Amino acid sequence: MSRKFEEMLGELKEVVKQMEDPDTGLDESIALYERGAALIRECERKLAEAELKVTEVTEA
Amino acid sequence: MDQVPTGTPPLPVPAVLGVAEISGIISEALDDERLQEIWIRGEITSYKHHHSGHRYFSLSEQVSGRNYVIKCIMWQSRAQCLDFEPRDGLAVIALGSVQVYEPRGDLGFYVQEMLPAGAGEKHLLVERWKRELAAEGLFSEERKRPLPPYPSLVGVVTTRTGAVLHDILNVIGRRFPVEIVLSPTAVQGDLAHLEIARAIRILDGRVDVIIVARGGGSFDDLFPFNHPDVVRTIAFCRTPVVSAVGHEVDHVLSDLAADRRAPTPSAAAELVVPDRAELAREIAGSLDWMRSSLGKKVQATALLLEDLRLRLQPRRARKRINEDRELIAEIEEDLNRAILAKIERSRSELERQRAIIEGRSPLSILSRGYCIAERDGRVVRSARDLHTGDRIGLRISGGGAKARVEEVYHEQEV
Repeated sequence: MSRKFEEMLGELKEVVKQMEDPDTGLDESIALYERGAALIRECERKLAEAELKVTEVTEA
Repeated sequence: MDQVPTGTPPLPVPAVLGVAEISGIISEALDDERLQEIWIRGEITSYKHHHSGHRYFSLSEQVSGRNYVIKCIMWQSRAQCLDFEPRDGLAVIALGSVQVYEPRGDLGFYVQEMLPAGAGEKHLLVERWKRELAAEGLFSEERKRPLPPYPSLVGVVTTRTGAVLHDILNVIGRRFPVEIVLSPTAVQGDLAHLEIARAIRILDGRVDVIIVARGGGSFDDLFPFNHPDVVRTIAFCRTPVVSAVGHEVDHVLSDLAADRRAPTPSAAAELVVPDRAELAREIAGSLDWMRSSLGKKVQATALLLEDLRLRLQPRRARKRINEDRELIAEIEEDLNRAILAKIERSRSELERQRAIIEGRSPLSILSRGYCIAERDGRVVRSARDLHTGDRIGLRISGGGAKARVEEVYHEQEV
């Protein structure tokens, strides 16, 4: 789970918000949908790929 | 002037107070911060555990061979919180206030809390640290920072082995696996506070969030997490810290300094990472939402298009054209009418003008029976212009004639 995941989630929320706007045209909505769907695929991939990894530090 | 009596002055009448009044004065006299909410150290004597649950005893101290005693009362409501059984000869510290119990006139130390002396001193020390650190502002709400919603590196400060680390790894692995950086440390012992503080500092700035955790234990076991070294390190950490020390009921100062307190290490793990399954559901939900939103928009656009198509139908267009044609025809008619009227007016005007012009024409007289004589292309205006034998032309209505003058006569003096 990287910073990027957070950014992608933020962008996805923005996409959804723009689609909610009644002033957004059809062409734009289609482009937004495509962008949103791509973000969702990427987010889902990141979620699926997350793995527990444990390291240990002892030195400052 | 009044007569001043001489001799012995009259004895003042001694003031007699009611018992209630004197009780009030005593209470008032005891209302002194040196006697209220104070800690007293002493040895328990004459301990009685009354069947009502109230405890009656004395705290005593010997100084320079002299015995000092204060009567103590601990009501059942307070005594039920004791986590040891007091007995004669036990050294304790007690928190309470010196008061008079007016219904019985008992003046004594009314105890709210009591601890065995050794552990008690440590409690007092923690209380003092708490006051001092609070005064430094280390526990203030303004210092608290939000935890990162999606950390990629989670630091854990705890022992290398044991249930705590296991629980944390378990919960994080189940909810949202991330990279965990363990900074191992001892969590109890006389020097544990130094190790804990160092372990936290090692992680500071290297990870997105730090969990400082320890399993349950006695007050003594948890004591390092009250130490100002640990508390200050947490408070000044650049990375947000979650403190999860002991069980739900245990409270340590590191909890107060941390950005979040978790009741248990497992709860801390839940706090720092979101639930992957829940996130996946949310994300899938937003895909559904986008689909339906786009579907609605397409539908709305299709409706709009259909409406436009209907409005553009040929029948409608023809009707529109016919309407236009009618309008044009009307205009044309108006125009024709206007032009004809104008032509008509022009024609009659022309006629009028022609009549006028014709009226003035010399030829017009011919129609009235006159005749015009011309000689050499010029109108003969007078008989004097004519001579016998002249060839002249005559213009008569309907044509003319050529003639020879046979005789010229003149009207005399006309």
